[in-house]
Amino acid sequence: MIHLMINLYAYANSIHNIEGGTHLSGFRTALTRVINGYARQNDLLKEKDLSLTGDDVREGLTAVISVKVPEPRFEGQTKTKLSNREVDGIVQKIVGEKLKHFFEVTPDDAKMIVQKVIHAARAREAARKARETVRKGALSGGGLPGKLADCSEKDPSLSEIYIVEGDSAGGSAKQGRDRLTQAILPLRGKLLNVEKARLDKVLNNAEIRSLITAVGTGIGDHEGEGAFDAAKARYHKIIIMTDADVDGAHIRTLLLTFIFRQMKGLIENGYVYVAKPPLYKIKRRKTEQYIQDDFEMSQILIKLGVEDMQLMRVSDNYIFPSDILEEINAHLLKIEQIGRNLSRYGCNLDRMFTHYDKTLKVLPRFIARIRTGNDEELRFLADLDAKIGFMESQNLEFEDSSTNTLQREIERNGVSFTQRFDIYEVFESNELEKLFQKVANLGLDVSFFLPNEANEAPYKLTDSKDSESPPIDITGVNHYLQQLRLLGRKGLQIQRYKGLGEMNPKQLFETTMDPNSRTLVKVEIEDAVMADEIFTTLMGEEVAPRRMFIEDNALNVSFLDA
Amino acid sequence: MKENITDIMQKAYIDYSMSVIVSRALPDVRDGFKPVQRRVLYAMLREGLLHNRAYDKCAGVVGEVLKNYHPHGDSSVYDTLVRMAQPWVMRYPLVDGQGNFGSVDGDSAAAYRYTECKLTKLSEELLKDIDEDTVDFAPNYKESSTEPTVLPSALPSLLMNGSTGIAVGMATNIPPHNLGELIDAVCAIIDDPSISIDNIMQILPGPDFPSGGSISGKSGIESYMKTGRGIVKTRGALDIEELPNGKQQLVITHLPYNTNRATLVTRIADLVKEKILDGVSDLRDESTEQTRIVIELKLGEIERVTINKIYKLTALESSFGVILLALDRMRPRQLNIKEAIECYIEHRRTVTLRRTQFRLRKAEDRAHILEGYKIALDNLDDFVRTIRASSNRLEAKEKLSTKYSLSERQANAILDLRLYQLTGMEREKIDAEYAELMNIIKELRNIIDNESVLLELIKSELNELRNSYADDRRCEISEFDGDVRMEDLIPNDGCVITVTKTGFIKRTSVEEFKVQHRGGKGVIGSGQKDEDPIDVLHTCNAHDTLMFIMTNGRVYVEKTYEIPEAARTSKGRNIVNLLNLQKNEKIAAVLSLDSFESDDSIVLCTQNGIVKKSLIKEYRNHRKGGIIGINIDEGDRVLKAMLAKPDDHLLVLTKNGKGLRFACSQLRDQGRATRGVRGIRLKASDKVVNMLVVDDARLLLICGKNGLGIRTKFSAFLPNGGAEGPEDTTPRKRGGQGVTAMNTEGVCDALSVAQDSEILLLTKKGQAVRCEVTNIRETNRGSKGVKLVGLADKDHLVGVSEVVKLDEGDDLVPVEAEHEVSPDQGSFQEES
Repeated sequence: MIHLMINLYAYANSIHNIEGGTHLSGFRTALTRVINGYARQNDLLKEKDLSLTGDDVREGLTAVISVKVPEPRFEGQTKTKLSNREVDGIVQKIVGEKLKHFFEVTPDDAKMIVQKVIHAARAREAARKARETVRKGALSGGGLPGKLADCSEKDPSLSEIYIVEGDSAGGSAKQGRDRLTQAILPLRGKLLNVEKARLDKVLNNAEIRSLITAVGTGIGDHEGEGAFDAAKARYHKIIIMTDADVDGAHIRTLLLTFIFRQMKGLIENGYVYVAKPPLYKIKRRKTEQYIQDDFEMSQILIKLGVEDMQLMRVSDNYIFPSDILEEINAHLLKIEQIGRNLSRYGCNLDRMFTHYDKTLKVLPRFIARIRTGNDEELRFLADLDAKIGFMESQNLEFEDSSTNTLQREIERNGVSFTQRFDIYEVFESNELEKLFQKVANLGLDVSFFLPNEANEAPYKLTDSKDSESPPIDITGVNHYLQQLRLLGRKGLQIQRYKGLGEMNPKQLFETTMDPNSRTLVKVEIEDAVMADEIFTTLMGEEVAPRRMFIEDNALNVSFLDA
Repeated sequence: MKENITDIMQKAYIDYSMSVIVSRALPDVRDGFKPVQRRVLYAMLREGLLHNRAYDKCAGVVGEVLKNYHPHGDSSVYDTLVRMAQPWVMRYPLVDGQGNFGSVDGDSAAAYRYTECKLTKLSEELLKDIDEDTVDFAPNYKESSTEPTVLPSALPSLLMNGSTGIAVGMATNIPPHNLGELIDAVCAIIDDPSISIDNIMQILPGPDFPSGGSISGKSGIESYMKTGRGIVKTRGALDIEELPNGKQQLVITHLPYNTNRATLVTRIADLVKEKILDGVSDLRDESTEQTRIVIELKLGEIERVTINKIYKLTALESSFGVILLALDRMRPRQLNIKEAIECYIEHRRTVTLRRTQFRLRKAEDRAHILEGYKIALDNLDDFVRTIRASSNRLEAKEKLSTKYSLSERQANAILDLRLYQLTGMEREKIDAEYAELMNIIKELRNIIDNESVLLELIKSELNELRNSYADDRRCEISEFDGDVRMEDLIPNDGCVITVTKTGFIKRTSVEEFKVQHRGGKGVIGSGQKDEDPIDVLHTCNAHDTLMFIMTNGRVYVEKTYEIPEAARTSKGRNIVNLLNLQKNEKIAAVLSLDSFESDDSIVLCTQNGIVKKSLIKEYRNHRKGGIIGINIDEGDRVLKAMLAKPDDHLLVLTKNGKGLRFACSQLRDQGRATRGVRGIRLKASDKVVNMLVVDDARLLLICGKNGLGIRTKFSAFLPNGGAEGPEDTTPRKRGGQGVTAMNTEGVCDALSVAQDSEILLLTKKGQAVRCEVTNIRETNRGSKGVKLVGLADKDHLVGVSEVVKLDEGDDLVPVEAEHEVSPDQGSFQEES
């Protein structure tokens, strides 16, 4: 919203009329009328759109109007204003006709002019709404959105506001909060994506208006009334609290987009935070614990599971100390997570491990899946050479490099079969190798993953408290972790929160809102240019770059919600 | 804790988008369901809502789904349920609904506390065998029970009912297909895995929408079948009925897929109100369950135009943009039709094989027990004795097991036998069951061991279902691509095109001239300003193609109906708004053609005497931005363009009064971007004023600037100079200097006139004179001419044009006016 200067100079018989007069008013009328007419005629302005006002039309305009009048009459001695009635009509007619003709003959220029005026009109409308929104809030508490449950503290530096997803969670938050310093603003549904919508539409959105009013700073980067001013912030902590599910994640991105685009100063001042509500609650005997995400949940289970257990290396009866075991378990969890992807190739971790090259410390880079008739077998190919070698040995030739499936008919003992080859590149190998190495350095031999010749498990889990119970043979990573989780689950009550509304008000306060125990993530802008790009990519109009981002980052997904 | 905003955004966004892609918006390629759909069907199965049972409340289903499988909003679950029950959405409905399940008019279904539902027989087929270890189960969200990750899907549901979904960065939109055709296509691919997509299209010709109607054109179908993307144009069905009072009415009986009936009716009503559908006298929606929208036409209205307009302007013709995208192994993938079917076949192989293995395990289990029974029955007395002699069950079991080497399960089963089962009949039963079981085991093994048997089994199961569920195609596929062209919407009426000197162009109906001029004085009206006279005036038909030849040799082509229609008195629009003109281009001539397919030629003539002929066909590939018609020399300009037949003669006249007649055939046809050849050799300071097509039935009229004119025969320009006797029509050679046409200081213009033509003369000072040519004495070429108009001092003639009669009345319009005709000057001075 840039405000452009208007320079209009009016002369009658070479006398500068500072206050204008009939010639100026005639010019203005004609200008507005012709531009409106042209815009409507050429569908630049839709039927339902409001007409462009004189202010819109004149924004940034420089014009000189000079008329010759036989008997000029002026208002006042200094001839500051021309007052001949007839001049108005004459100027109107001439300017109207010539301007119309000019527009008709130079449509490119005409369109550019009209676009500029429409732009000005939109900016003006947006600014008006922004002003209204802010003025309401500033006048009295009565103008604050009805849904806002404000705090009693008036000092912004001590106040905080929770922007909560949905009325169901809003209710809990309202009841559970600390009335003195914590305000609650529930927003319903998904917020409008401001990156895609025009500002006037954004300001028509009820949720966004109540957000603006509640925060009190105004929006945008222009000057003047209604403009953003961080000093007017009614709270110095603006906390985004959404459900711990994927829709919550989405609402978080939408809220951040609005704040980043319209109230960037809040982030720069360090006023914006993200709350971390728990995803699980576990209850063991009398103690309760809240868990943030699936990975942490897994970690906790392992931790609980390993509490009374010891891992023993059978070859030398070595028992891993608990701190090292903890580290090992963390790596193994990672390995398990990556290993899940292997199911895409019809393979699993344990099978993959049997092909670990102990000397070179590498895993196969390719997997060939061969189905002959109803039988299926996997071939593990160490590297590209092995893949080429394999393909040559099988006489395989793919039409182009993008396909990895091939089907052919073969005959075996006089019966014909279809044989189908799928060759996959195993992108996970590299990461797995690194993790193997880390685990090996901690004393857990790679052979942990491989069954030995005697078919005897090289590692055993023993109960440190109860020597009666038989030790558990460990046959693989998955098995080991599953065993631990099973043990960890014993006597546990697990509740998964699908939304903040699932918690009692008191629970919500304890887990997420209690200033003494909560985790808040402060939002920062490290690199404004990069941040700008990210918002454009993720929230913007164009689909292609977003799709590319998703494809590039598909493997980084931290949790999938079903 | 602190975190960078970009990291927060990226992490949150990727979580959200991946979840939407992988587990919300996109269907699985194997069973064609999104998770919520699968969950609804599975919950209904578990609730026992089978097709042969009673209906039960939808609220119960929604509750069950929310409670156990789908921790999201209730509306998304109920909407899914409702959609699966709507026969206009689902080609083969999966849910049998009782109560208000919405309508094609876009009414929503009744709330779930009112409605009831159960599975259809067909959807049970999709769930069949689910308990025989055919598919993987995963724990539900709260790990209290399990849910299937995919359904066994005995029918190719993805393509059968289609699917729509918008994820993030990608979307899917799959049309429904006919089950019979689809199953045939599946079988064809099983039979011949290397079958081409063209051949598949012989079997599966395209989508089959439940709403009926038709699909226009096959290119969109072919495109999506081959690439996974294509735009299919669908149309509703429309009948024409004759009414007893002689009127006609159009009746819409089928809508295109996904078209809201109420919106369509509103749209038609709006178009009638806006006078765009001006032939409609009444509009009624007589629909019941069967769609029937009646559009009554005014008496004598051409139904074709209205029909075409309805197709073009309403949703009765809609596009279905196919995106065949589905999840294949948890990854979104765009597939062609063959890949989609192959994935389904793969799925069925897995399901059938797993089912067979499961049944084999069961059968072998049972056989194992029966073998135990047989041993017991064969040694019945000993068994009874042993049991009687044992002190307890455990002892009996151990004794029997060791003596007859029975497994523990066998021994237990034997001990559980009832006494009656020892009768002879029961023994026979066991033998019979065993024998049957052996057969079954053999069969099952055969399936597992032989791929071909497995595939045959898949095929025969599909064909069985085909017999029970396949039905006739509802949606017709026509070759015709159904493009409604503008020509179909606009009557081919006569028009007058005028272009003013500053480039204002308009199209006026010939009618308007007639009406305005009945009994009038022959003043042709124009809203032009005094300073902007008409430069070009041209009559043609609305469907003709106009060619605008610019003075710099460029040519622009536009349909006549694209020229804005305007009243006789209005100014029109400037040409720059219609054509993509370059800077400072000015129209030299306008031609109209009804087609580019003609053997005639276009002849261009420049001021410096260059003439160029090229076939009309050369201009066929025109562009919006204009094309080159002739390469023009520096300082030269195109003066005239005309259509000529090969045996036409041309006459070029110069300012100095020279005239050269030569034959069109002397000009060879040239390409567009060429310079042309010399038409007439000009003396210095001379220039061409006009070029005419010779019509020997007419006479040539040449006007000098001095107000004198001569009327002479065209034949006077032949080599034998119009001598008496049989005329020698051999023309002169082109490129010559020509012969003297008129003895004058400056020719103003020349015209080809008939005996009864009238002409309109215009002087620089604005005097306009109309006169009949018969009043001009016929003279030989080369004379000074007779007085046409009395000129005032320093005045001279600037233009002349022929006034032609448009009909029986005295309505007069000058056509082909060349230069500076400004006929609305008011006073006409008739001179004879």
